[in-house]
Amino acid sequence: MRARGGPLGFVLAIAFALSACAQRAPSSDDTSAYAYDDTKHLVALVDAAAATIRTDGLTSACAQFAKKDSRWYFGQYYLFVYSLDGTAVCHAASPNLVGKDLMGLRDMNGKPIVRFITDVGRQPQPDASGWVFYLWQEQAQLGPSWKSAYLRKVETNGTTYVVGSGLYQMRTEKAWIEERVDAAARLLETKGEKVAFAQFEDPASPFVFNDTFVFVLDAQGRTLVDPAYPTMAGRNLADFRDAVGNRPVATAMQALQHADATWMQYLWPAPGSGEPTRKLIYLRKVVVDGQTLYVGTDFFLATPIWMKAG
Amino acid sequence: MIRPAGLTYWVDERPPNATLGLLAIQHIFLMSSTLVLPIVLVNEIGGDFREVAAVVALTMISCGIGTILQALRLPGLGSGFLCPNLCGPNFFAASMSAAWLGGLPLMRGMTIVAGLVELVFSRFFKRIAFLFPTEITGLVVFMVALSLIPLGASKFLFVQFTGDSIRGTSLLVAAVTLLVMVGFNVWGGAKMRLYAVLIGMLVGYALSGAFGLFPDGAAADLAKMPWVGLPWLSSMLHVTFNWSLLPVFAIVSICGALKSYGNLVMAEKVNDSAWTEPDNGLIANGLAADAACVTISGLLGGVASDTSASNVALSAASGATSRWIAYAAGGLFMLLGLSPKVGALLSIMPSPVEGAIVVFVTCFMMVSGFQIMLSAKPDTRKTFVIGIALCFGLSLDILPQLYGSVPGPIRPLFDSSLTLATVIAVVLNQLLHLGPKAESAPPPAEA
Repeated sequence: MRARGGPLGFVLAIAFALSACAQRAPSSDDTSAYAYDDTKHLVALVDAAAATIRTDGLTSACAQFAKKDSRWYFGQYYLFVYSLDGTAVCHAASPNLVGKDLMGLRDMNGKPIVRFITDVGRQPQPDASGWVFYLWQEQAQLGPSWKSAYLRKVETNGTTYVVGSGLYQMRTEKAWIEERVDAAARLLETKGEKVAFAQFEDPASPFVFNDTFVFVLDAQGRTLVDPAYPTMAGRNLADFRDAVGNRPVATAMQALQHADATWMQYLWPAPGSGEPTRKLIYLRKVVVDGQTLYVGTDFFLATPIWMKAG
Repeated sequence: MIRPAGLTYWVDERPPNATLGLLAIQHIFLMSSTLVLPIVLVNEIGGDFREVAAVVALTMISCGIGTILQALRLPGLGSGFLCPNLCGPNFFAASMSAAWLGGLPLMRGMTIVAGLVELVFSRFFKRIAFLFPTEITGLVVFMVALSLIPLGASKFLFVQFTGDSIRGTSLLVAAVTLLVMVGFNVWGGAKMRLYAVLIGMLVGYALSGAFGLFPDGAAADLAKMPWVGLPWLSSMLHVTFNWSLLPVFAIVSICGALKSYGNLVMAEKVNDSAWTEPDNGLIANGLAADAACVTISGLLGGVASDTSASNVALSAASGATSRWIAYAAGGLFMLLGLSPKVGALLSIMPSPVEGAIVVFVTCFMMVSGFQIMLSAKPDTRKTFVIGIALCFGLSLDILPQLYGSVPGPIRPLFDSSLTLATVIAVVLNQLLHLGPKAESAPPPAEA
């Protein structure tokens, strides 16, 4: 027996589905440098907030940002705005902070959070942006968690502000790793080993973030800076073998004979799981006082869902 | 072979030119749905724009050659069925490891080795075909269908990584695309059924354009590509080899062969209404064609491909299984490989559209697997062979953490539920045939 409904029901189903689409998806800003949705959402939110400050003015924008369950303040997402002297101008989640000078605020490692945030506003580009990572107490958690904040410089009525928003426990983006290691290499080249090494080992510096550390190797692959293993100075990472026996650091160093920077994948059991999981090393070659050094870091790379099976 | 009633164009029947062209284009879109994999692979190892274009083109050319070889019926080569090749996810992780370790030359070398391993497997296949009775054949086809689910479901929902949110607009586009394909297939009659996927895809593309669901920067990438260009890599003449990768590639190759076995059985079954068991001679020739395609991929410098379950299921869904479609689709795919712009255009299929197509074709593959499994008269022995294999095969997909501590040497066996279920079924089947030949009782009618 033929089922009732047939083509008419089918057309109705499509019509219903189409009508369910109330509005077009919001156009996204250029977030192509990032892999994960939550990173893209955060960047799009802050960029849209900067545009609103420019068009509507700071007072009106702050009033909009403070409205709970709006497009600016929902779930974990909320916005804050600082002036370059460290004064909180808007703070949707903690309005009691507005008007206070927070320049001295530090995270669990002593990282000067608001100074780093306002540093974005001191960059020369009119629409400078950047990321600040800090260890902070997430509500209702026993231990602190990494928070990643995206910041955008914005000027209105001749005054410069920094607008931003952050999320806890975001997955590490390749773009962040590249930016930090490249900055570490520049610091090493311009300030020399003593200053740079001290910063790389300092948990309050920007080079320690999201449980990743910047390491420095000599030309043979021996560690010169190794914040993850401070008691094992001089271990040779060129000998390091991954879960399936490959030597990713040695291979990356070999690749750097013909390039300034390289990425290398290896497999390592993820914390809490016995399964070998993809990790990426980013390594950059620098020459300091005629000596070749390698600056790098590594992190667990999220694997697309469809790659997990089959 | 007896012509099934539901087919509009049977395996040796040549559709009119215009119809042939449209059917070939429909298959080409499906073959292109995974061209994003070579792009991801080359991008991940830091390849430049020129290398991406060349690897995509070379992958297309080798898939085109493989599709044609498969449709031929040469002595020892080709099953004679419409069973196109695409750059599927089967080889992706292994190819990526090779590319990370030794760049494209190592990926090429290991791909050639994988092709040769499958070639040896195909030559011995007739001797080991007794390991694959009908019920295990059905299990393999069913598990191939299951292996499409992660790709199909994640693309359908447009969820790339754990924690990504499901967007209403992309879900809408995927659902409408799927409904259109299902609708034309159910109510469209034989003529419209031929083009159900193509029509659904056009609707999906239009909606994706309206809702901004094309990949970021797709238009800019497309604009950069020339219309015509010979694919060329600076490392084109370099091939390297690494012993440490041999076990991984050998096992992936056997997994690929098992998957192709399932696809070829499905192709046989949709072409023969009196099908009862696989023609192992044809299957062995089909596996040889698949092996040749993998080897050619390595020799040319493309990413390894394997036979496409989606395309075989599409031929069943459309009612057009003519191998002339394979010649047209394969030839056209090779030609399009010489146009970087068209290659790029094909590789930017919006995720919800790709997901809808994969879900649509998976339905046919899954039901076929059931039908083959149940066509072997069920008895208690088969109940345990299939049941236990499914229990542990599926447990790998549902609870992969169960197998986190499996030791290295047998680890590759646990990389795929298809491989695990097949190996368990084959071993159990042999084990339960040991001892005196007892008549196996039929399973109880009700639990």
